[in-house]
Amino acid sequence: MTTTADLPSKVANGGEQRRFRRPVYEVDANADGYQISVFMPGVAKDGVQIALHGRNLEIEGTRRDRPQESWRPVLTELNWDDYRLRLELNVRVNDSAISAQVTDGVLRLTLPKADEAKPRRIEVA
Amino acid sequence: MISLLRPDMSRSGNLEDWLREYFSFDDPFFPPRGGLAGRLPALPADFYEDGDAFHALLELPGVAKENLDVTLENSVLRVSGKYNPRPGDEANRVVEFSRSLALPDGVDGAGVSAELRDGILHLRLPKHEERKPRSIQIG
Repeated sequence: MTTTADLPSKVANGGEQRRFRRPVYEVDANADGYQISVFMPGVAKDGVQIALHGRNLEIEGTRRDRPQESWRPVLTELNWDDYRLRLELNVRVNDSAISAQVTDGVLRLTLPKADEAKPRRIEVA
Repeated sequence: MISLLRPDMSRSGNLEDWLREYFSFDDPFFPPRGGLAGRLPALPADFYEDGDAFHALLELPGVAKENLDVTLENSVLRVSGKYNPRPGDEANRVVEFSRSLALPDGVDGAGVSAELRDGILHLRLPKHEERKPRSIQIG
């Protein structure tokens, strides 16, 4: 289980500067695989992009809405950057069986373990 | 790049601590801006104003509508509720949270509306008619 603080970074995107923060996330492991929960408030299902390049998992969340420009700020505590999380999969997972679900601004990724990485009972002869 | 599994991750159960810290702020007044060495309250909020209304925005990732309460009493807006980080696992996991915001004068309490979408709560607090800006004709 890991939680992270904001980590703003500036990235050029087609000439336009887009700001990203690292979202808070946690990893749960069980015998069958791993579940990653990524907290990305403001991101809907169609704003999530997940890419796997070799062992590198890259998750991006684009916000649907931001405060309107015509609103005058009175109190500002929230960070409205988009989200980006890069994880190295240093475990063996079944790439083709990765699944994802987004509910209420939380992405839940399920990564089943590769069969050869699952625990086996070894009989003592 | 961060590795998915790190040695210290064999321990689990810290999510609740983080959530308690994140969700635990409760102060009926706006926090001092930039005070407390820049530390922000645990359940962060934004507050805006336009000509017709005030707007409060709060981040509540993973919180379902039925677990959320919004009350307005004596010009204090209170957002409270429960968060269960692992749905289906009810054993002692639920984290309670609340945040109170003192509202400026002139909010029409009867007209307040709330929308919870993708983990962001948007409260629209309309101004009383007589508080809205208007242009005055010069006769």
